[in-house]
Amino acid sequence: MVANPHLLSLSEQARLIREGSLTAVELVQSHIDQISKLNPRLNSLIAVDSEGALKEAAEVDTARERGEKLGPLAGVTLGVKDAVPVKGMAWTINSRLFEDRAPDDDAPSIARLKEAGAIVIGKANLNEFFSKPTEADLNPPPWNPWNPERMSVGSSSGSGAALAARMSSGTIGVDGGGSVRLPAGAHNLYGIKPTHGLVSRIGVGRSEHSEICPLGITALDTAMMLEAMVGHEPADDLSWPGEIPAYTANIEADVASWRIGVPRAFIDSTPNEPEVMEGFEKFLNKLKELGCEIVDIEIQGMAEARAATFLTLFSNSYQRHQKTVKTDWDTYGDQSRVNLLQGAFLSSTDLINAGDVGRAFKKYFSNLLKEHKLKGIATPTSPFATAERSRRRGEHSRGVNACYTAPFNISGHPSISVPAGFGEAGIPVGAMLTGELHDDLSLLQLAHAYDQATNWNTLTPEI
Amino acid sequence: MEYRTDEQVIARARQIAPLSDEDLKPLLTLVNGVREYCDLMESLMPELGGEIDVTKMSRNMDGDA
Repeated sequence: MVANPHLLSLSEQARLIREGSLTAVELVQSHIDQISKLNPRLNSLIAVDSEGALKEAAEVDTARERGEKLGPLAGVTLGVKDAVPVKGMAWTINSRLFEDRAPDDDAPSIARLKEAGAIVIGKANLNEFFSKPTEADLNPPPWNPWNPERMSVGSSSGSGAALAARMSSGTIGVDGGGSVRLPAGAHNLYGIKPTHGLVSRIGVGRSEHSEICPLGITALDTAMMLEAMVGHEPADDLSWPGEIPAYTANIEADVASWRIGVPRAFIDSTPNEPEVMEGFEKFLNKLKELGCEIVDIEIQGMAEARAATFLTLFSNSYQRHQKTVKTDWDTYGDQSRVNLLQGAFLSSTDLINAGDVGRAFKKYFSNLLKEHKLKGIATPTSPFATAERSRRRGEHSRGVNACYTAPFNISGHPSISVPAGFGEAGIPVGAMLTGELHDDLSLLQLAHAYDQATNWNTLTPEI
Repeated sequence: MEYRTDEQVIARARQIAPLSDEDLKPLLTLVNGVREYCDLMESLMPELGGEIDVTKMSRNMDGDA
């Protein structure tokens, strides 16, 4: 029997289950115990299916005993952001409008994870309709396990908090402007926003630049989940029909001599907190130790691309809610309902302008990588070390917390947040790598090399 | 973006949702930000037949330099 299996990485758990050293039932029970112990305090998960998870785990164990071939994720558990439908489980988007809703089908990305053997143990808390959290939300915001006096950064806040507290093997979030990479950074986790179209967006509505993404304790965990999620979905008109390389089989790479660009002038123009920059410089030093060549570059259009991303998000959001804000205004949270109206003030020309700017930035950024022969660029994940700072009036409305992340939603480039240390409040800070379209593998390889050379994934919150 | 004044924003807001007076203040702040974004986008639009000139895009976080 393996002691405290919930503390192991997803890849270790999956290996031990395949080998028979750990049963899926033991792992699920370990996660259930952790949820029972910590979730009442942290509020990371807003629905838990212990019975269903144990039943599925028993089926995995029976299949192994019969000598059947197990999927790569057989027996590991997932917490899924409650914006993504999981058959038979709550699907509230943390709104009273959907308090009693449960979907009939899984989102295709979830179906693929289940096909690989993963067990969904619960739905993770989030900001109502990806907006600004308040205590009056259907489920109050989760607390960060690294400092339970502080709120978790969102909008995939529960996905970050649940995994940091080891309530599941991995988690799934949705990133429309940074909502996976930001919580990954703030919870000492790896979180990748894949190239647009690799993972079907079916299930999260018409948010054209929002991606369903995995968060993992290690880079390898993240790669394993992503590998299970990707693939062409004919029903999704934005789904990528081309070939996708195997991530986990190719995760080991010699990254020596890889060129990584650092947009210093842009980074210096943002209100980075000192501990963010301290973590970022250590991250760059570690890349240098791995043999990477760090190159100063100039980047343009980050502010414009961020604006284009948010205008598109505002429009998508209002379009979906245009009828219910009229009829059910008082059922919405008082923060999200006002935020949802922003898109109502845009003209069709404004939206087309934003699309054109996004396409221009997409082309420009790919050319920038090519021109400088870069595998990617490195930035902090967020300028801020706490959720409170990122939600400060004025800065939140300008999307300052997403100044590094949001440009790459409209451009569609892959982007991964990796752990980079801790701030004064004990909250983790992240660093981010962004690479060429459809070269997600290089980012995963680089993150994996960094993961192997650091000890962030061995640290757990003392709670 | 055609909503340039608080009065225009409030009139539009009253058309689309039953906002309270308390809702209006944060909405006006948000719409100011949306307007800045829209103006930024518009400033980049090329003359007829042209393409967006990325070299005119900003180098900083605020988009003003």
